[in-house]
Amino acid sequence: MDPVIEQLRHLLDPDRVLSEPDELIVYESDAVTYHKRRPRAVVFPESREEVAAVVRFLSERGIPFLPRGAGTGLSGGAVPSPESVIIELARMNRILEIDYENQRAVVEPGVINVHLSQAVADAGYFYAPDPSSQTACTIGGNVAENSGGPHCLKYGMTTNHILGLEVVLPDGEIVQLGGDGADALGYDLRGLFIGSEGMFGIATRITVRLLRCPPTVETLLADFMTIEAATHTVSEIIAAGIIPAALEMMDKATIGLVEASIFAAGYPTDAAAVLIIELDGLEPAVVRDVARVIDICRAHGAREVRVAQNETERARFWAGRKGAFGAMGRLSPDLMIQDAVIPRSKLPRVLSQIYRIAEHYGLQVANVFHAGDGNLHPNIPYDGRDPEMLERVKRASREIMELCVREGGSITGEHGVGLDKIDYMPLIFSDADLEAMVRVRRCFDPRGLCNPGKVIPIRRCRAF
Amino acid sequence: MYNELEAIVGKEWVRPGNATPEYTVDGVVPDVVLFPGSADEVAEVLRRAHEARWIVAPAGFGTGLDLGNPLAKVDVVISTRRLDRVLEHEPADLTVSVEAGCSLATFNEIIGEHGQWLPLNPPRPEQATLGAIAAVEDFGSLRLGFGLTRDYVIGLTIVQADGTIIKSGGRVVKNVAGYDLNKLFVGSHGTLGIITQLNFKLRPRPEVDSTYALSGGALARLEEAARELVRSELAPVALNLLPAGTVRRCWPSSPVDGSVLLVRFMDLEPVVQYQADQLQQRVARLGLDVSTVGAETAMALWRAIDDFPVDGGDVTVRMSVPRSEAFSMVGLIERTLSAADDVQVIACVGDGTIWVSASYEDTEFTRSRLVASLKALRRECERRRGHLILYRAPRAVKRELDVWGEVGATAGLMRALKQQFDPHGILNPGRFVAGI
Repeated sequence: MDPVIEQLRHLLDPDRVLSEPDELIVYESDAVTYHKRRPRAVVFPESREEVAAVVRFLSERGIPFLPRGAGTGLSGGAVPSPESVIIELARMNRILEIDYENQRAVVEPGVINVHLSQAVADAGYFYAPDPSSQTACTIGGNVAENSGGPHCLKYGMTTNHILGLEVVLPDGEIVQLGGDGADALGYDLRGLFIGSEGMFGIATRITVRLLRCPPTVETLLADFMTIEAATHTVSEIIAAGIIPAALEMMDKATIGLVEASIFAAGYPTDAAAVLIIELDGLEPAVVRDVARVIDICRAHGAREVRVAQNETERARFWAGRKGAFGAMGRLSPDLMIQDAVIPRSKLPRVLSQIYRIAEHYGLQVANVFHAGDGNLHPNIPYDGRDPEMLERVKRASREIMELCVREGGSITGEHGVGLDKIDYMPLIFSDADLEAMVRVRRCFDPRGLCNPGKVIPIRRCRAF
Repeated sequence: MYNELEAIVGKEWVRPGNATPEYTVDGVVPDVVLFPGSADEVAEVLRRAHEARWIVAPAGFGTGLDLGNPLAKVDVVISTRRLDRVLEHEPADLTVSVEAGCSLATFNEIIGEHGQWLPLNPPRPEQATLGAIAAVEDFGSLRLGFGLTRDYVIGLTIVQADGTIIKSGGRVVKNVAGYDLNKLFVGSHGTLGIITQLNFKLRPRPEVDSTYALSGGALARLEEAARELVRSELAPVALNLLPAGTVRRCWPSSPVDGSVLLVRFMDLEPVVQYQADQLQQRVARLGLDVSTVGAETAMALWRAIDDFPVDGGDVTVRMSVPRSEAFSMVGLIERTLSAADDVQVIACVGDGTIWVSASYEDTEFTRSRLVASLKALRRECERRRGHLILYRAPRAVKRELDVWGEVGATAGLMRALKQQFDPHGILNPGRFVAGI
């Protein structure tokens, strides 16, 4: 028996250390299943002291490790490097403190995103970042990935909602980054940690900002007979200075899949695209913006603009959008999930080129995305058992990514780099830029034990 | 040194420090002040400084050079003020690229033509460059409604201490590619690199800007009002408490006696009106008076608040506490500083920032009494998980009281970052926290 596992069992309880191959299968990948590797073991700490003890133990022996939440990530960020031990935080799922007076809450990393909003809903508050996986993903994972979601158009990403973090550094030391109710002094280590993809340490307590629930919410569903009409509508809403809470788009391929699935939302299947536009805030603001948005939709040839009449209808509009990725599972055994960002004024042009690229490679593409901030998800269904097809998918993906970068965009808006996008990093960053990132990592994790092999393409950067 | 620098930036852009008093760094006269015309020139200068171990203080217009612990000496001040172009403004995207030397006021004027703005209001926006605002993460009373510089920076160009130019972030509003180095440089006080270009996301400029003054009650009553407001659906962009003494200084024409809670709304006209009505109703229940502050008066008043303090006190401090502690701190401040002259206090009770300014008769006795009071206040802030920084103070005070206070267990991480990014310690050495 592996002596490391034996000692880990001693450190925690035997039943909180998994090491049998059949037990480890679940932990081979995150939600992108084409990156896989079996961990050496999976441990389930239940307190920061246990996290620190495990980290110290592994670090002293030079054994790599990585934190994991719910495994819903979409970049292969939670795939273990060889010989890595996974520190699974799902059991650290307590909401420790809710402080309405200062609009903050303190949670453990394993708290499921939506549970926090549910816990504060009756008091009239919510936690804003809402990734589509919010019923499963953890706030610790959101911190690692700087997760977004439909409503970050108005409310910002995870980094805009985290006030402070208690972190176990990769050598086992526990430090507080950022404030715990007031500002912190010095460099913004909290901001640096958020989005570091599990490479700077493990957050064990997270102080988040709570927002007041907006008193009025209106959700619109507009459908268009051409993609261009929909994308021009998006660009114009933004250019008009309206800040919707969310502005989402789904194309015909996505609509068809959603409507054939359990997530059916009543989207018109003959439309080329639908937009979900949500406006929230004080009543007079919402009333005025709804009218302006309807005008813009009509001016661009929307066939119908429906305003959700009640909470049930609103939930249905959203169910289709939030279930879209799941619905795509019907189409093919595998799905290449893409995540790129472009300046939103370039949506019409870029989207039509994406269809052209897919067509060129004989592939389908289903677009479902956060149109309001230019965050595209052009997903390509494929069959991974067909190597020739996989090759075409990879080439098309790269071409799409290069297109987005050429238009002034980025290679990921919310999913992170992980393993999946690591080869794209040189498209947007120079060697010097990447070296600066490596230097930051060196400060947090001089020995490179915490989730190694992610984000920075080492091959390219021989010098460091 | 002179000749070398002239060869890089051109003869007319190299000035002796004693001929440019506005670039004196907290009492230290630099050897030379440079005005490079491009990021490449900044890079060339830093490469040379890195080799020669020249001590460099980055600057914009030089108005923020007193902030921080004093430097022992300064060889070169590098001002970015010639880098003042708005490079690419995409109104339809609400994004912009701008050089670091552009002032906030000029910048907002230019993009204002498209009905957009960067909603930050640090002191003296005419003399504050965007680079400097980002470097010190300066802010004003609008923080409650609009947040901080870190919330708007989507990309940066930085010349590192060794002269290498890097970029962080990008030009799109949503981006998680790589570590978020924007956050490292924003608020790093020029100790890690020199920002030469910034990409921001912008906001639509609000239609209407209205201010209301709540008065007629004791502090406890105003506290109740503030608490009710932040709990309500209303969304004030600023919520500032001015104790009676400060009202007399900042708002000499004030029609009311006693302390005032200022409430500011910015939005579409009907939305501001709606909030004003709601405010009236809620406040009436508490037995307080609400008066609308006329547009011109409001503008002057906010200006006085944001350029705090009026007529520059000798010492200005900024505190940060959880907002639930803000009112109790104000009472404590007034008691603790009762012996100082001209104490002015402005409490941003929505976000927990408190500005305090005081003057003292210049004797060792009064100075040490003031320092003792500030130390006591710092302890009180720290007890509330917050801090107190000396925003502006004479060197004599700084000698007795660290500008920043203790950062605790993260000092090691911060020093490691400084070591990685500025191994020779040429950029503002010692000016920031933990001896950085």
